[in-house]
Amino acid sequence: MKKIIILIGLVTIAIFLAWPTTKSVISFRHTYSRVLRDEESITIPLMIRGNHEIIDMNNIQTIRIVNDDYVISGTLQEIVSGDEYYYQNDKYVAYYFGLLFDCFEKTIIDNAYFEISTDSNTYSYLIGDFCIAPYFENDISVFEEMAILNTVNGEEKIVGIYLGLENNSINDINVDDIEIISPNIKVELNELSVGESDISMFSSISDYTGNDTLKVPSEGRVHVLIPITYDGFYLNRFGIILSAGDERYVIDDFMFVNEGYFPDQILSTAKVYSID
Amino acid sequence: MILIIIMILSMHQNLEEITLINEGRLLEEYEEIDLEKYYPNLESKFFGWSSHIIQEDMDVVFISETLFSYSNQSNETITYKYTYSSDVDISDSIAVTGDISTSAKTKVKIFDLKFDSSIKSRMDYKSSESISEKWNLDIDIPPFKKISLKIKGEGKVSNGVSRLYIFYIPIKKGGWEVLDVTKTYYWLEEEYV
Repeated sequence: MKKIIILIGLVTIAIFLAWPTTKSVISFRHTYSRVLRDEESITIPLMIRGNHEIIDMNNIQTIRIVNDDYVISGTLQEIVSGDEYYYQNDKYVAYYFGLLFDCFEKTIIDNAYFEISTDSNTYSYLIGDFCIAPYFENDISVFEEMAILNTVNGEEKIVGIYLGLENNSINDINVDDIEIISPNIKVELNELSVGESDISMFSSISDYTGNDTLKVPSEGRVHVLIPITYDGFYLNRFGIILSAGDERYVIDDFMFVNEGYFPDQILSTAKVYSID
Repeated sequence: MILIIIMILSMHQNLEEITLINEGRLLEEYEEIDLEKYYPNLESKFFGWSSHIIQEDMDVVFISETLFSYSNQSNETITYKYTYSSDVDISDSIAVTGDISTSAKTKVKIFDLKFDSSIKSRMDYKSSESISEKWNLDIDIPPFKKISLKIKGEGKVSNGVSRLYIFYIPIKKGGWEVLDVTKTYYWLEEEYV
């Protein structure tokens, strides 16, 4: 009888160990737009269910951001575990992957995948658009900055950026192009509104936009409202590049809105990867 | 729809101002005599807190404390390196009146509410969003100027009254108000020193 009990116990343990444990990963489409300074990291969140090997830094050999055309390699700085979330009745844990990149030029990778390689496997998760640019000292500094938020089709969106710019050089800077560091966000350059000072975060952008060019006078200052357009992408933080002839003026990324890593707009882009 | 905007100094310790978007009243606007009429709604208990919600999930916008403010009193522009920490950001908040006490800290998870657990549960459900984005900013501050990073936000406010019973005897009572922060906005502003 004792042997039978031991046998049943061993069989139970064997079945338990051999039973396939479901593992899955959820990634989200985001617009990553960062101006990188030394040792500045980018955090990519993933929700992971089960004891996946990628939650242990020791298992990870390489990390890359890739699409069909581009590849950039990075260094994994840290993995931070966060709170538990439920997706379709399954419990997931949020993990935040802190990544470092050597960035020497503006790089835009649309429809990017976060690729993680271990000794025996390579995993790829769609993370959205990944855009980085290096910061360099330049003659324009920002003394005021905020987003203009209007309700569009019942949804509150960033529809413009309000900047206070200071020219620290002895020459006028005639800005002929303004670029948001993202493939999907366009600046309505002929709709700038320059010199406004009574704008608040919730001003109606249509009250202000006009036709103007942007000139930042030598050792002078100017306010500018920059209308932006985009479609279907969540956007809360981005860097800006001003161009004047051959000169480039990089403005550090600014977090205009903070809704945490998983706002509703992001949750709706969830892509689930099941692993046997 | 009639838009009613009420702007008053906030009782919430970490907020400078709360603006109610639609009709309703914030806890600041209740005199103790106003709250008295809600206490009869409370069910007496052998032991513990009994609560009544007066208003639930009212939309508000708020202005929070300044995240940082840095002055340059020198003749040269200086660069301030700012690293954002969610520890100093606004999270959910609570205000109380009367005998109700709370170790009023800004983070939901370390709230030590000493009253009704049903009120506490209202505050806990948003705590899963406690990890915020990392953010580094290098900010040039001109001579004799001050640069501040400020926060506005949106949220939902609920308020009510509670009473503590011991052997069916009311021991403590007071009003409470819970702010559930849903979104925060940042803006950089220059001011004169």
